[in-house]
Amino acid sequence: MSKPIIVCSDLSFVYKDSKKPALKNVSFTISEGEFVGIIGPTGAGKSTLCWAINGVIPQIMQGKLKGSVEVKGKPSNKTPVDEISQIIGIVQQDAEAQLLMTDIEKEIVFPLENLSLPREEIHRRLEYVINLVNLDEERYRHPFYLSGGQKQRVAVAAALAMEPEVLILDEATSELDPVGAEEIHELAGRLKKEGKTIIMVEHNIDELAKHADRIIVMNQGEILRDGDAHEILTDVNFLQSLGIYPPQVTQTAFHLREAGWQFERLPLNLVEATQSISALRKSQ
Amino acid sequence: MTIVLEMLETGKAKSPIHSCDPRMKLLWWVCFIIVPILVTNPIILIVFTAFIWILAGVAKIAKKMYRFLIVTYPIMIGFIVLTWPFFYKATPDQAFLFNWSIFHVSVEGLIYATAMGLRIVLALTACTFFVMTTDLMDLASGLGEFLQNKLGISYMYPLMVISSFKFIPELSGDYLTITDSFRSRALDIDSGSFFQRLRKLAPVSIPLIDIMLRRAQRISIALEVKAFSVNNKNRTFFKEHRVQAKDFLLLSTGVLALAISIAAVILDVAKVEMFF
Amino acid sequence: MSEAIIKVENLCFQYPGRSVNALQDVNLEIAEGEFVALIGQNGSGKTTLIKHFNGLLKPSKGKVFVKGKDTTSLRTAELARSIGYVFQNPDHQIFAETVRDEIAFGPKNLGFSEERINSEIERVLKEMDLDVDLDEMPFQLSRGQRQRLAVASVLAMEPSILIIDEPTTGQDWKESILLMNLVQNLNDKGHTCIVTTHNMNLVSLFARRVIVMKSGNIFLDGATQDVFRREEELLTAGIKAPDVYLLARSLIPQVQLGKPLTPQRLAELLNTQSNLG
Repeated sequence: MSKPIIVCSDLSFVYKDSKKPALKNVSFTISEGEFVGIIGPTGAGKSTLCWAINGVIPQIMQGKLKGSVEVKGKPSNKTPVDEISQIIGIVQQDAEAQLLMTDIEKEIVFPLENLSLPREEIHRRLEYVINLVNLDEERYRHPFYLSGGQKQRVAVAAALAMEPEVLILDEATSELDPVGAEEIHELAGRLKKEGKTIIMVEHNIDELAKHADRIIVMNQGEILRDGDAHEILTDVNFLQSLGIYPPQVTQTAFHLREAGWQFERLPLNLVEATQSISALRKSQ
Repeated sequence: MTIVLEMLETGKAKSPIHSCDPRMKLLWWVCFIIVPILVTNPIILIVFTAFIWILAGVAKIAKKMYRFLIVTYPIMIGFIVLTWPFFYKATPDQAFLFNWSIFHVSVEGLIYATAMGLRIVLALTACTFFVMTTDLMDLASGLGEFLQNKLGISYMYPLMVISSFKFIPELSGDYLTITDSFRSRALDIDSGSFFQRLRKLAPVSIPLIDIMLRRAQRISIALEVKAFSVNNKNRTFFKEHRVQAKDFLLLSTGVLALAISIAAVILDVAKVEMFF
Repeated sequence: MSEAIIKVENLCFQYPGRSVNALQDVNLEIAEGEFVALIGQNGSGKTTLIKHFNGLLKPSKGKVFVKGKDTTSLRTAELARSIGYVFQNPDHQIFAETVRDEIAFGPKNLGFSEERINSEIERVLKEMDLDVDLDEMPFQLSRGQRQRLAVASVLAMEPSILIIDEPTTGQDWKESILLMNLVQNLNDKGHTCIVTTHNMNLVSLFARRVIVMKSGNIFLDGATQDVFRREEELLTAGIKAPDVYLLARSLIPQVQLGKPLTPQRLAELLNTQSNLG
């Protein structure tokens, strides 16, 4: 087992001016190199959890926090947010609200200037991330002229420029069209291969199934399940009870199984489904 | 809105003039703004305007500048021609072409009006050239560097200027969406007197303010996550501005123009009246 | 086929200052009572097209008729009687201090009597399954409730056509399905419904007709099951057909679908196929 990087123990949080806890006794450990998907209905506490991991909760968004989150051994509620940002990068849903500058290069360079890094180092990181997200040619464009997917890639690049070990994508694709969403998922897959730890809050189970190793299911501030991605994402009854739409191929196989088809395990993607269903048809 | 954005984008282009230090270009621009204040001599004004157009050719923006100014020149000149009879004092010794009520059109008056128009044209040309060859955001950050390192003033102020150029186009987009959504609910914003319309727009302001407040909160989070601190006095400025020979060359043209103008004032040839 | 309630003839539209046409020679008829999904990549012209239906945009060339009337001569405020347009983000329209005032806004602008407004409020709250206090502040409702309130306040103007721009933004699947089921009910009662969305799962569950836009033009138009079977063409328009269609294609390519495909239906088809074989 590789080294733990985020340790969350018995975390509860209530927003200021609210009575209902947004998180209730949440505990888990995430290790280096994992790709963790977090799913659950609206109001499950997914975003609250993300903010608690990088210290924005309780440092900027205030409220009552119990329990602890440790990021590489540092308590996230007491370590300055800019210090945690160098371990944990976060990209939110609203692409526009995270971009502050008038072109891509300035956006990527901005946090590095704030960290008072030397010019050569900023240059090295800029060139690396701008090529990683494939936006070299647009580097002087105003965000107004960029597509939603491009804007989110800029947000990812700006987060990665701080060289964090973990990248949190908090519903980063939910306002994008399928092409834009695909760009972000493809990028997340590449980052996983490079060894980055990825935490992805996502509604689109089909896309999440492509890269996630592990799934955490949340509902009303609690963790309902935490385990193997394939096992949880093919649990059709469980997902539907939470109002989550399982992959269509999984649902198809699920109905077939109810009709007596003997699946070894339910498929999660098109390739698996085509193979397992045709095999079963032949054997019948 | 799009025209402002387009000008900003033009300022990011590549050319020998675009790559000059934005702060030197600012000084150059100041020179050319002072010139039309000192000078009304049409010959001097025309020569200087022509000179800026030549520079625009060097900067490869002549076409874009033309497209913008072809609309703006006539408006400015038309404005001057329509208003000068109210301002120009008619004296009996002039060659009158037309006399009616308070309107006294004379040859001298026409020449005077043309000179006034040319002043505006020069100032306008200099401004447009400056904006179209300068990345204004670079200028803001360049000035920010100066303010921080020499005067110890936080980067917060230049940052506010830069960010507003990021957020204003977006807010204007939000405004359009919101008014459209109210139109769709049968709010007739497009008819009635100015004040009636203003009153009808009151409900529109509420979602707009709401969105702005939410944005503001997210921006403050984004600033924190991006490690921005008001108290940081050691911030790096990635873009290096080194003053080169060509910067001095460009600035010297501005200084020379200013010097010629001052000389003209001293020699008493700066005023259009010398032709009367 | 009943008469076209919306008719678009050779519609071209160019945004001022742009060189490319946002819409290029679009022809389209939508009949009364249809449930249409309008899909396509961002920038394909979906929003530009639907903004012509309620007069927010006027054709540069060509004509748009709503209920037989040319929209060029009508203001959006007048068209609101016939066409309800629900925007993507409810927070772009909610302004009132109470749920009652929010819903009453449109009908008041149309000059409805107080009595009629009150009965409308009651009706639309029921239609949108909103069990809220009339004096409640809209901003305190959940995102899903605000979305339904936005639809309710448009419905209160009694439009026979309902346009919903991307009902899934900011909502989870459960809320989206809840809203779409309510829209389906309205459709059953005779409303013509037009929905734009990026969520193909939603399209395959609700729409009976799909119109695909690509670079300012109508690229494909037909029954949902027929459009989704043309997956290669869809890909060129940046759209991935729902997985059930892809699965059906590789497993039962010869079967005529007849109606839209859902996982359950595909399972039934596969089951009967295998039993027959």
